[in-house]
Amino acid sequence: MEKVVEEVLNRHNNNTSILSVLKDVQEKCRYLPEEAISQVAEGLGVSINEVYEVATFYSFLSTGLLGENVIRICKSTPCFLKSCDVIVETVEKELGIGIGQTTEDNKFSLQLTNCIGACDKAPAMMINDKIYGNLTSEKVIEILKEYK
Amino acid sequence: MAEITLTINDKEVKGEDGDTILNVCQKNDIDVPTLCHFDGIPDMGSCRICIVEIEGSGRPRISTSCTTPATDGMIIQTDTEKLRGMRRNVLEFLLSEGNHHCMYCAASGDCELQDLAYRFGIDYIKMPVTPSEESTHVDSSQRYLVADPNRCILCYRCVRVCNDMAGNQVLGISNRGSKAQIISDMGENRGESGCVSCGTCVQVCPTGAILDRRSAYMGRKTEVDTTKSTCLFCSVGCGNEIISRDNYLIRIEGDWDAEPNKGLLCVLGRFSPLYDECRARANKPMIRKDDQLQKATWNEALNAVAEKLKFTDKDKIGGLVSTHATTETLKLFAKYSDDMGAKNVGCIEGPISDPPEKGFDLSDLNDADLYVVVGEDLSEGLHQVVGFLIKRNLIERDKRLVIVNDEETGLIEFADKHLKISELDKAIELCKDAENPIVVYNDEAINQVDKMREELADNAKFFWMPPGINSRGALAAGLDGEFDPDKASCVYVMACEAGDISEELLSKLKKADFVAVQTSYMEPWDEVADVILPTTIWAEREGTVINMEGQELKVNKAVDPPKEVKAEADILNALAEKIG
Ligand code: SF4
Ligand code: SF4
Ligand code: SF4
Ligand code: FES
Repeated sequence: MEKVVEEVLNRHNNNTSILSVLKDVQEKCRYLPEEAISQVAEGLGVSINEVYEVATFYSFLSTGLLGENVIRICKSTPCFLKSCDVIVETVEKELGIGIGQTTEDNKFSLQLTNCIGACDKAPAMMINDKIYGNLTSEKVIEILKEYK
Repeated sequence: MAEITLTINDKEVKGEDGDTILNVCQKNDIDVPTLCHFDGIPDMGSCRICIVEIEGSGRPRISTSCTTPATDGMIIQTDTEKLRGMRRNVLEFLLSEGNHHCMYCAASGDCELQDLAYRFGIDYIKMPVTPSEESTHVDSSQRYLVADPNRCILCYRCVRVCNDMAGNQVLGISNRGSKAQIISDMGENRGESGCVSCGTCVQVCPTGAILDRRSAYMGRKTEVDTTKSTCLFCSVGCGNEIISRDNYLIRIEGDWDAEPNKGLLCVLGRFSPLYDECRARANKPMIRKDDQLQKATWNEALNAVAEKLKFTDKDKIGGLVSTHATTETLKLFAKYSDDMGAKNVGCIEGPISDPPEKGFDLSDLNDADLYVVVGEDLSEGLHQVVGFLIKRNLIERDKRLVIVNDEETGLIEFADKHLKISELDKAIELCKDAENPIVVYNDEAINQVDKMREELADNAKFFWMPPGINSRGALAAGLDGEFDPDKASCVYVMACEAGDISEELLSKLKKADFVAVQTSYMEPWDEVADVILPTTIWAEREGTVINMEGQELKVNKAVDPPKEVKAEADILNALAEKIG
C-alpha cells in the first residue's frame, strides 16, 4: 500500500490537486484507507483533515473497502423522476445488500451517486466505469448476470 | 482606497473598494442578520441568512451580502418581505435538522440561532424535525470541551478558526448534504485527535454545538461580569476576558481586540488556570512552629519576617521573585531590596539575557517567508500562540519553517527542515537566501543566536521568547541578576503562582535558616517556608506587565481575593513599614 501511494505521489510530482491523487490511489487500492490518506496529506504537504474532507465529499471516493464491482445508481433529479427507486430495489433484492453495503463474497458494493451525466438515459447507473441507461428491472437483472 | 457609493434601502451610503456588501452595511449601521460571518475570519457564505436583493436589469438578484463584493452604484434592499420569508425558511431548515430543544441547551440565551429564531418569529416549524442519524454522537472525549454535532448548523466558524486562525488544522467537515458533519482529523474523537486544546472553536460557535465543560449552565452573557485583562502565564501577554459571576471565576476567553493574540489563547491561558490548577490556595498567613506551619495573624507573620530581615547581615539576605508579578510590584521589590542593601536578588526563572536590540512586533510574523525556531518548542509549554501564528502562515505554500533543535519538538510535523544544532550554518544559509527571515529563540539558544546575529546582521529579525512572563518588567526593575541560594541564609520569595521549582533549588532553600514566601498557593513552598504570606492570583491582580515585544499591557482585577489574602504590593509596603 505504502509503495502504491508513493508511486502515485511521485507521478503527480508537485501537483497539489488532492482530488486527482486520491482518484488514482483509489483506482489502485479500490478504496482510501486511513494510512493512504495520511500518506497523501504528508506527501502533498497539506493537513490530514483537508484530505479526509475531499475523500468523504465525493461519492466516487470511498474510505471504506469496496467490492470488486461497484454499482452506483444515480439519485439526481431526472433519475429520481424516472423512478430510480425501482432500480435500487431490484439491485438490493438481486444482491441481498442495501445501499452502502458490500456482498459477503466481496463481489459487489452498492452506492447511490449524484448526477453521472446520463440524464438523457434516465434512470441510469454505473458499474465500475461503464454506464447503463434506460434501465428497467428486467434489464438490471440481465446486466447483473454479466458480473456475477 | 477608492471610495464607492451604493444605494441601500433607498439611502445613499459610502463604502470602500474591496468591501463586501455586508461590510458596507455594517459601516453604515444597516442591520443585516448574519450567522456564519465572524469578524476577523474569511467569509464563506455557508448559512445564507445575510441575503440581500441587488437590483439589476431583470428581477432583483438575491445574494449573500457577506461574500458579494460591493461595487460602485449598486442598488440594494436588505429587508423586504421576500427576504424575510427566505430567511425564515433558512432558519426553519437549520432548526429542523438538529436537536434545537433550547430548554436543555447550555447556550440557550446566548445562542445566535435562537436569537434569530425569535427575531423572525419562528414559533413552530412546518418541516418534520429530522436530526440526521449519523450525527447523534456527542463527543466528550476532550478534556475541556464537549462537541454536540446535533446542535451544529455547519457554519464552519470552528473549522475556519481552527485551520486559518490558530493554524492547528484539526477540524474539517466530512461528507456532504444531510450527512455533513464536523470532524477532527479523520473522524477521530476530538480528545484523541491532533487537537491542542486552544479552545478557539468554543469561542466562536454560535450555538451550543461546542461548549466549555466547566462553564456550561453557569450563566448567560447578561448575567456574568467580563473583565478585559492580560494572560499571566507566558510572555506573549495575550489579551483575555475573564468571565466571572458573583466573584466566582467561570471562564477565560480571548480578547478579539487585543494586539498580540487577536482573540487566540492557548491551553495554558484559557483552560489550565481554571481546570488544572489543583494546588491548595494559601489563604491565611502561617508561621512554622514545632516544624509545622500554623495559622497566624498578619501582624504576627509580618513581624516574624521583619524581625529576621532587620537582624540578618545584608549579604546573607536573598530575594527571589516570580515574573507572574506586575512590573509595579517588581519595581517595589527592587526598591526595598536596594534600601536594605540586599544584592543577592534574582528571578525564579534564572538570569535574563539581553533582549534583542531591535524591537519586534508579533504581527511581523505575517510578513516573513522563513521561520527559524531555535531552542523553543512552541507547541507545548510557553508561547504556544506564537506557534499558532507561525503555523497559520505556513498554510501559504511559499513560507517555510526550519527547526534547529537536537530534540524532537512539536512543530516538526509542520516544518520543512529539522536541523541539529551542529548544522546551524545551514540555517544561516537558508536565512541568507530568504527575503524576510525571522528567527524565534529563547535564552537556551543564546549562543547559537549570537552567532546567527553576527552573520546575518540586519538580514533577519530576531524574536526573543523571554523565560518568564514579565521578564521585561523584571529587566525594567533591574532584577536581571542571578539569585545564589548558597549565599543566602535568610530568603524572601515573592512567588505569586510560581510552582514549577527545581528540586535543587528547593533543597537548597530548605537548608537556609529562614525562608519567607509570599505566595498564592501552598505547594511547593510549604516544604521550605518558615512564614507564608498569602497573596493574590492572576485574576485578582492589578497593574501592568511588559510582554516579549516590549509592550506594556494592562492587568485588571476580575474578582476580589479571599478575605485574608493581600495584594503583593500591600504586603511589601506593610513589611517595609515594620522594618522601618
Ligand atoms: S481546541 Fe483548538 S485545536 Fe482543538 S479543535 Fe478547537 S480550535 Fe482546533
Ligand atoms: S460546531 Fe458550532 S462553529 Fe462549528 S460549524 Fe457547527 S455550529 Fe458552526
Ligand atoms: S500564549 Fe502565553 S499569554 Fe497567550 S494564552 Fe498562552 S500562556 Fe497565555
Ligand atoms: S453570514 Fe453570509 S452566508 Fe452566513
